[in-house]
Amino acid sequence: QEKFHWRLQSNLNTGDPGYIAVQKKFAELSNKMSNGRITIDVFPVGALFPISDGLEAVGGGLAEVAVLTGGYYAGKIGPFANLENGVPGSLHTPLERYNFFYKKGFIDLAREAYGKYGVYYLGPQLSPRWDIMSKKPITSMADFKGLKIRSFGLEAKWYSNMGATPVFMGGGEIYTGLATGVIDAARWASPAGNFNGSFHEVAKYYVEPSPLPVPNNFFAVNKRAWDALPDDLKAILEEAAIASSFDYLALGEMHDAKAMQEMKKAGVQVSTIPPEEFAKMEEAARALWRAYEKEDALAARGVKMLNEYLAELGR
Amino acid sequence: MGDPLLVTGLLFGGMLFFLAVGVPIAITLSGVSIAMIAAFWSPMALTMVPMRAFSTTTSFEYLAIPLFVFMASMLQKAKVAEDMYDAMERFFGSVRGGLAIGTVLICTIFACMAGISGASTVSMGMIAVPAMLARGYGKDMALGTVAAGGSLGILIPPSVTMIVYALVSGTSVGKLYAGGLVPGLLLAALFCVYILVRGWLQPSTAGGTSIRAYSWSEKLVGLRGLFFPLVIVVAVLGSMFTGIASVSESAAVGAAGSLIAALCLRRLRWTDVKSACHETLMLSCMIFWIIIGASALSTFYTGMGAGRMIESFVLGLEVNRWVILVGMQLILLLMGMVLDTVGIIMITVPIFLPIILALGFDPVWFGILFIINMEIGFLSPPFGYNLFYLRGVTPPSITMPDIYRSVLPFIAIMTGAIVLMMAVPEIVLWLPRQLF
Amino acid sequence: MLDGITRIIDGFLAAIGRFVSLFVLAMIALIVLEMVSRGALSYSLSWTQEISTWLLTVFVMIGGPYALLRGHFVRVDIFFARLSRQNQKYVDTFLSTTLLVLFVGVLVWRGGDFFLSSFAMGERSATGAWAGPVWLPKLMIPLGGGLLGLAWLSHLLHLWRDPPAQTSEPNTVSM
Ligand code: NA
Ligand code: NA
Repeated sequence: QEKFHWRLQSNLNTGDPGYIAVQKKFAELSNKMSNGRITIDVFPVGALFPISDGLEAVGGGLAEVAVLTGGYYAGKIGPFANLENGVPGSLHTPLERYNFFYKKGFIDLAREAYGKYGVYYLGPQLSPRWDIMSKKPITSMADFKGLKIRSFGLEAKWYSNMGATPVFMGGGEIYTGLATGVIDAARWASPAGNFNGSFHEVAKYYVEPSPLPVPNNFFAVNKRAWDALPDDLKAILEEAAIASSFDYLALGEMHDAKAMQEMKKAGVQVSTIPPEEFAKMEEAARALWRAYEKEDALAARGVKMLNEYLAELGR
Repeated sequence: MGDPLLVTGLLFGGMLFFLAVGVPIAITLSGVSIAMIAAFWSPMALTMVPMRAFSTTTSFEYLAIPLFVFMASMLQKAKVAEDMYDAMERFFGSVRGGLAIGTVLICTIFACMAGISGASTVSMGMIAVPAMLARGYGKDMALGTVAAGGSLGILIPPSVTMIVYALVSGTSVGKLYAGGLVPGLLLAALFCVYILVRGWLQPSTAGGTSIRAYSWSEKLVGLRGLFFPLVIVVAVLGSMFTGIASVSESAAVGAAGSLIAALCLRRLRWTDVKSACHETLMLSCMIFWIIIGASALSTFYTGMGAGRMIESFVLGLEVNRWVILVGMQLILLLMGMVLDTVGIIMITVPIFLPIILALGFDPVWFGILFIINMEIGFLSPPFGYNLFYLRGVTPPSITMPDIYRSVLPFIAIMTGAIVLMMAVPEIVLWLPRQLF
Repeated sequence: MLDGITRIIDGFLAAIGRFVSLFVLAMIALIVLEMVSRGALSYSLSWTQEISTWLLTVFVMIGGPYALLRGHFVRVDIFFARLSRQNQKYVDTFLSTTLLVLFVGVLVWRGGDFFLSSFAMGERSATGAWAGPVWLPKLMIPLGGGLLGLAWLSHLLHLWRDPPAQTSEPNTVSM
């Protein structure tokens, strides 16, 4: 029987829950389930290629598989990439998001969108929440006024409409940026990720609720490498992607709880936006992504699908 | 997939051969990587070369390189740099090695302004090396001081290398910053002690016989030469600490400051600005094209499973935990001789950190030892960024062997400092404990 | 004839090299502009950071070949400096040329694809609120590769035709 050896680049660093989930429940699991017919070497983010070039790298075969983040590809795919990545003011729980992809057929749209770039969209990797940490308390929409917040894309527009000054800044500059006051707040990762970036040392307010409670990355597979696989291996990888996705959420939950405790010990306070105020914010966000309808056909289908599912959920 | 040992041998054997016979560095690194990628990976994987080129040249952190080089070039053209060394000579001229010590001090201040190493090495190479050579300093003293002083940029905060290390290892950036400050100042002090001792033992290397004492009135007049450099330093640091500028942006404050200083001195001439731009282009291209080649090379080495090879070697060392620690640092020293910093971090940190934690060592303390090892990597022959950058800014009368020789005492000092910090971890850990 | 060719290549590379060298002033201006706008007007310009890095891409990729021509691609001249001039010529003509051809080939071929795919999809900036064309800086990679090949050709022609004093002008900062 033919054996396959793949390289995988994660979107995260070694030791991150998302990296461990990919290593244990995607790479090692598919190796076991296939009786050793496929081996996957896992590399941390940036080891093989910059994540912003992920589509070209996977499409061109530099790595057979990678975990990528749609937000980086809005300039290539169009606004659909944001819908795939997860937009504010929409779904709230991982199961809603799982259903949206796998039961409502959004995954087929994603496969169509990424297929054009030689990439097979194996499946989403549901991610723990992406949160805001701030140097100032934020308890209402009005508190965004004048706030210099590190963000980009749709979110930047959202905050800007609320009176904030969005500042674009690479991940490596956030810590020093917060420390010196170039920015007042940053939208980055879940509590574990923010703790890992040491942001609690320089920003003492943790904003609740999360602006992006269920974002996702995705498993991108080189199209030729995918087509070369026998059907049973394909099925194994499909299921391993789902297993790894949920394992990330579970692991993330544990790490997040612990990180939150640590941050509180270091003096971080939770700053809560009340529900009625947050509902207004979500409404403003919905208006932004609903406008994608007019941008291109694929985005229009995506918006329609999301609107229908939200209606079913009574939102 | 090739055998890791074979790949290692061919890759570094090939690189060292072509470097040694004198093929330009940037061409050696990229050409050898390309041949190896095509042979051992796949021709399609060659896409990593343009990708690395694009991500290197569009990195906002690296934008500080041309900005600081421009600042140095403009300060030189407007004779501000000359005035500054003149002033330093009036004050420290009566001490053997005084100017070299002044250079170490400027490098230390530079390290507080920049998060990367290349910018300060090139800038100081342009300003300090000719100034010291002109004042009778030996080649090895002038070159070694700048190469070693320039490497402080990644140990004294802010530091891009520390942020990369912190993210890969999950260590606190603040603790690393705090941990790097005392060792950084200690290294600077040790460099100064070395310069004083060397100047005392061998006067010819440290200012020769031309030293003289200046009167107080001469000293006061000379102070004017320090005015503009000080204003620029205050502006750069001030813009950063008040939150007006991010670390990368503050380099632009320095560059704009150099233009304003020239204007105030009525020495702002369009021909000088043009020639500063020209010089910035030449030196920045030298730096960037080397980085592009080096990052392609280390990406290839990472992708071929260098990590697994090193992991099995370290795990094979199952003895005393201190032996393992020393073994790791020997690996870092060896890799530092042939690979670039980011590549070494990518390959080794994911392997070393879990082991370090399992052995019960402090990750911040190890992080600082790691960063000093990376600093040595900037200097250690045959492959060292700071060595190549110096080669690019110094006159043809300076040869590569001159540069290689000049850094050896400083590498010895840094190695000694590592041993000292292993014996007395408090040197590293005291400040982080006070602050966090 | 060959003299004419080297003169044209050198003049062409020098002209565009001198032009892109001024980009450093634009980078300084853009960053200062963003700092002032953010600090004084509380309005962050979403495009300044990205345009300044794109200028850096042009600076490095298009200016690089000119730097090569001017002898700024440094060498580890431990043995090289001791070689006879004839042997130095052989090193560059055979060894350096082989590696450089690989490099230029990959920059033009893979870099060309990198640019073309970006161009075909009309890639726009995804980082800020502006939608700048990303294929434009990506075009600099194959272009820079091609110019690097030209610069090397001129270097080889100089190497074999010029008297010793003129050619090897390694690593001087004087202009
Ligand atoms: Na620094
Ligand atoms: Na080295």
